[in-house]
Amino acid sequence: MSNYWTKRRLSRRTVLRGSALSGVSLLGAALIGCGGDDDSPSGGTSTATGGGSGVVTTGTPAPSADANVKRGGEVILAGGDLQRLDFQATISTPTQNASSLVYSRLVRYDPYTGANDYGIIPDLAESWEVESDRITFHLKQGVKWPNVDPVNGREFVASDVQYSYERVATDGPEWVHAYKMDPISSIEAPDDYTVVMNLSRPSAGLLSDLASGQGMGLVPRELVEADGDLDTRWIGTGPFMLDRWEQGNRIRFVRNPDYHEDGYPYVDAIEWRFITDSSTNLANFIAGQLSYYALPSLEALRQVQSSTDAMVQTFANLGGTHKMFNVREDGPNPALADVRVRQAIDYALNRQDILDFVLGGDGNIAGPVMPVGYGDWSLSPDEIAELHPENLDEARALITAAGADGLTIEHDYGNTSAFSEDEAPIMQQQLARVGIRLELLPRERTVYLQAQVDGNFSFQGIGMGGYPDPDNFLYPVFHSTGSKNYGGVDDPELDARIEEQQGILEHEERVEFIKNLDRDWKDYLYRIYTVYPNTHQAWSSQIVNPFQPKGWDWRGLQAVAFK
Amino acid sequence: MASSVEPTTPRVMAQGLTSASKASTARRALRLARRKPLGAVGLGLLAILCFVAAFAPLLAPHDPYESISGARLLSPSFEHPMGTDNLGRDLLSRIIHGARISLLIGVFAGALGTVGGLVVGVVSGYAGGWVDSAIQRVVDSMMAFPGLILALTLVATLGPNLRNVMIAIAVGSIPGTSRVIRGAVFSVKEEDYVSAARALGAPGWRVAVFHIIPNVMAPVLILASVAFGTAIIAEASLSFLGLGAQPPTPSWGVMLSGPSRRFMTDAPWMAVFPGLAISLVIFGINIFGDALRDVLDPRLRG
Repeated sequence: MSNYWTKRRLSRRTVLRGSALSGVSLLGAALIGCGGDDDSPSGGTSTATGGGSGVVTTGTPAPSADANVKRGGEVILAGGDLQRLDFQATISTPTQNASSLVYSRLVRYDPYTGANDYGIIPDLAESWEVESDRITFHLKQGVKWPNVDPVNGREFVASDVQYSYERVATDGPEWVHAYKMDPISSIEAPDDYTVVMNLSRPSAGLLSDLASGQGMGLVPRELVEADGDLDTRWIGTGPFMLDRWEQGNRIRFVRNPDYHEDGYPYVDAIEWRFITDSSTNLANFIAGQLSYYALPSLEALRQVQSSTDAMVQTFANLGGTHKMFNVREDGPNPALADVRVRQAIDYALNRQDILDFVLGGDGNIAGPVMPVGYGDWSLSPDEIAELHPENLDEARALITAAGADGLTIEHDYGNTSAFSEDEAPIMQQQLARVGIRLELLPRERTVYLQAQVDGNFSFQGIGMGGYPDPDNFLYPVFHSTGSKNYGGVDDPELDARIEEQQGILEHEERVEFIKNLDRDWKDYLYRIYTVYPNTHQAWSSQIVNPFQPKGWDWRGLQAVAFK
Repeated sequence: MASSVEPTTPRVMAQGLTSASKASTARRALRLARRKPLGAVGLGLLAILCFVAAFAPLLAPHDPYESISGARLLSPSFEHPMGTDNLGRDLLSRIIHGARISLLIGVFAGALGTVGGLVVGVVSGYAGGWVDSAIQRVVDSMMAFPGLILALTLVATLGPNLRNVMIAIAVGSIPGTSRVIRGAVFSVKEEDYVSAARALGAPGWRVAVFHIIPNVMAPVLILASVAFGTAIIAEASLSFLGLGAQPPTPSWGVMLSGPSRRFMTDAPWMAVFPGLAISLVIFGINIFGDALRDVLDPRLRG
């Protein structure tokens, strides 16, 4: 049957091919944006962990600015309002994104590597050495804080790093990024340009955490001491300075004339307008009022492609909605503590149908913990399909073996999640084929979140963002002491494997270890992963050097310019 | 002869009367339909709703919950006359099954609200005095809230499901209904036959049940028709807001909410057909209610 949709729908093969090429297309889009000049701002990158104990790993210096790029102009973006300014004490994504323009870090992600490749480049550290018991950073010299009170243009030094991360590590519920400092036993500043982080345990993911825009910006002690917190002013060493924050309206940044990377930024100002309605943003982008637009759906993508000559980038989204079991023996549904029941559910699902119905084929099937498109860490789509096949007979046999015939499971999810609203009825139909009755419970968001924290759920849809390091997908979620272990997982064998991967500093060895864990995931299945969507983002055709914002880091805007 | 005729005569007469009565009723109905053609159309639409609801499993070409492989967002065609939704479900089948929910809500919530309003209105109007004052203050306070807001509050408190939606809609319609009936009771209770019944020593409840209520049935029937339509709209509104029937239930309101808005530009049929179904039924109820009022209200009789 041919109609409007089927004529345009993406086949799985097309989508997989698209995902595979996404990294290439992203870079290609960047080059297209360069108008044929070799002015890609990308330099070489190093991975977060390279070399075993005692091996020196140094990032390639960030690229220098291109004198031929046209300067000036104002980039307009749209998004949500900031919860507060003190980015070290909030998880608010708009706050983190905005702070990444003002506050530099020791290292940062290269915005011009392939999709979901979290290659690390220098920021305020010009080189670093990763060892099993410490990381030593050598800082750039001559970096100045802006010439405003109370820092008055003084030089950035190692004690600023020490102060910043000690503040992040403060005890108390407000300090939501403190867990990232867990592997660090102490921070030393032997001289003004050297920082030594002593580790209590080997941590393969620490460098990547430090590169993240989430809470890792380096702040001056004088500012916090003068104001009491970071909620009043922002003073950083990043490419932009905060001009004004009008709550409910917009936040605006202007160029930092003392920025430590010479020649950057190219544009004079960045303005983030607080508009979250996707149809309004779509209309604004089509009308040329926005420089960038994260497309929320295939329908929006089609409209942008048919109405504008915007540059569209597509890549696999590492974030998605996981299906989390409550595996407590005394939980609301003790049958879910039996891995055979969880395996039966896994076998009963037809992931390709979920992908086709819920996402129109625009995404990837999932199964293991690491999503497809996650750089080296992912298993191939074919291997995932082999590991997590639909097998109704096996599902029925497992349910019977577990003595769970006639099982009813309550599936709750936030009633604002369009993905869950679509996916849940499909899963309900699929599980009914093996005699499992799935009761759908869309819940008001606060009720849903409370049930999550209280462990008062059986099988819950939970949204999770994409993270730079695979440990973020494992430790907080599945380790018995993890901060997001809402399902009550207490599995010593899995704990040991999670701890072991944290200590593997050799990249290839760690990749293989993680992949093997994913291959064995069927023996654990504390969460079920069905599909992940693709992400599409559009840049105005007037923009040069479009990039992929990743890890709450929008520093790539320093290299964005207008044609 | 006489003895053999006598037992049959009343039966023959009764049969004759029944036939005459049936013919007369049919003629009257036909005459009424000619006089109130819009009312007849409204009644026809309601009859179609009842028929579709009663025989939904036989009429629906597909299972309303079944996602058909490769049928996502298909535009209307011979196989799927109203197209399919984003989960590959046949919209015609969902709308047919949705009629059951609308009818269920309309009948039960409408009846519950009307009966509740009748009881409150009769007690308030007939008792008068401090009982009337007390009841009317409560009614005043309830009427201070718009009906939908009251229903929203109740559903949010009781939890979103169809039973609670029916209760909320019914409770929300009681104040308005009772106020109208109270007014009718005021005028009826001054009638001579009510005074006569009282004078003969009939207790209050008997006067209310056997003399007041039958004589306020005209407004009650009109209010019931209004309540029926209002309940259907209220259910659609609550479901649209996520507080009524829950997905994947094929309620017309649910079908109008979330996904149909997301796919409005690519698959407008997802919103158009449920919207059309609601509009047609409400239109039918309204014009039928108008005709009913014209027929039953003596002031509007030619």
